Amino acid sequence: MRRITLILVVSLIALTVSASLAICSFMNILSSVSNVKVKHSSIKIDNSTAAIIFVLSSPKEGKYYYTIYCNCTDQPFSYSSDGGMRAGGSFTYTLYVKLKPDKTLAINIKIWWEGNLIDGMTHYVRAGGI
Amino acid sequence: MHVKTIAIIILITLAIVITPKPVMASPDTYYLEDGDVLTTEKPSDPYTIISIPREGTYNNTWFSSSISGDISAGTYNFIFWMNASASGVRVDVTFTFGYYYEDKYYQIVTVTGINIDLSRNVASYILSGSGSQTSIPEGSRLYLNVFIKNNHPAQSAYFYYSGNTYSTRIETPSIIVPEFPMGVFLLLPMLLTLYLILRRCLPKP
Repeated sequence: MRRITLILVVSLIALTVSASLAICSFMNILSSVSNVKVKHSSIKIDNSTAAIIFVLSSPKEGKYYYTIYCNCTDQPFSYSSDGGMRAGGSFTYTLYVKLKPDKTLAINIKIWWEGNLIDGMTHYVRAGGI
Repeated sequence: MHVKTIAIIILITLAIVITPKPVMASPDTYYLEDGDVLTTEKPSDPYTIISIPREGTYNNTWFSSSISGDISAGTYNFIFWMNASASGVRVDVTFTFGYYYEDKYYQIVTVTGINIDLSRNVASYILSGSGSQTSIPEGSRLYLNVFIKNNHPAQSAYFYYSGNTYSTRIETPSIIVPEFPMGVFLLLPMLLTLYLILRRCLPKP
């Protein structure tokens, strides 16, 4: 009888451990299929400077690409780069632009993840306000 | 009971000494040195000057030695020195900081400053950006890429680095590096001691 109880207790412990592992694995799968996140923000540094920021984060490994167009130079400004991200990583981009009193700046950001366009945002900034 | 206590104390000591301990890397300032090296040692003069011709660009990457650990979330400051052949020259400056691991570049932060006004006198400028906490795998090297675009149609711009006078550098948040557990070397003698104590003190069947 004692032996049977012992076997039962050991089996119960093994069952609990394997159930916990299965739940952890399931949660991991859930988090890896969730969307890549992009967070945009703009900050007024002073009357003549603004910062345009985006933060890209992902629970899974992948490659990204982004383009930024701005009408703040005589020629349209653009910047783009290839980047790799490991699971759980993040990347922050900050763009400082100079503001002119008589002109509204338009800054367009587009972000691709694994070749797919996942995010687009246009910031309109002018001196005195964003 | 006495033997058990000694054994427990030895086991606890073993656990403590072999546990890796995080330490702050200091300093968290990396200087741009000749040979495309990113180093924590402040360079000495003479400094290096890079000429960027009218409507030209400059693009270069510096690498640190091998590193691993965690970079805290915080601010990255790129402090650089520039001037121009005349006043009124404007440049766009972009810096990217990250780590290079298994032939891939992993960016942590990129900052671009558009239309930075230069003067004839050499002056320092700063570009700042925030980054999230990042784990750097073992065998990685930190890198800093600098891209400068001279927007002036006639005048040159100059970029200075690798000197004591013009110490172009990047300041990063604290880098926490796990310290090698030196107690590992004590592991074998302590286990042997434990074995001898138990063998001597425990009653034989």
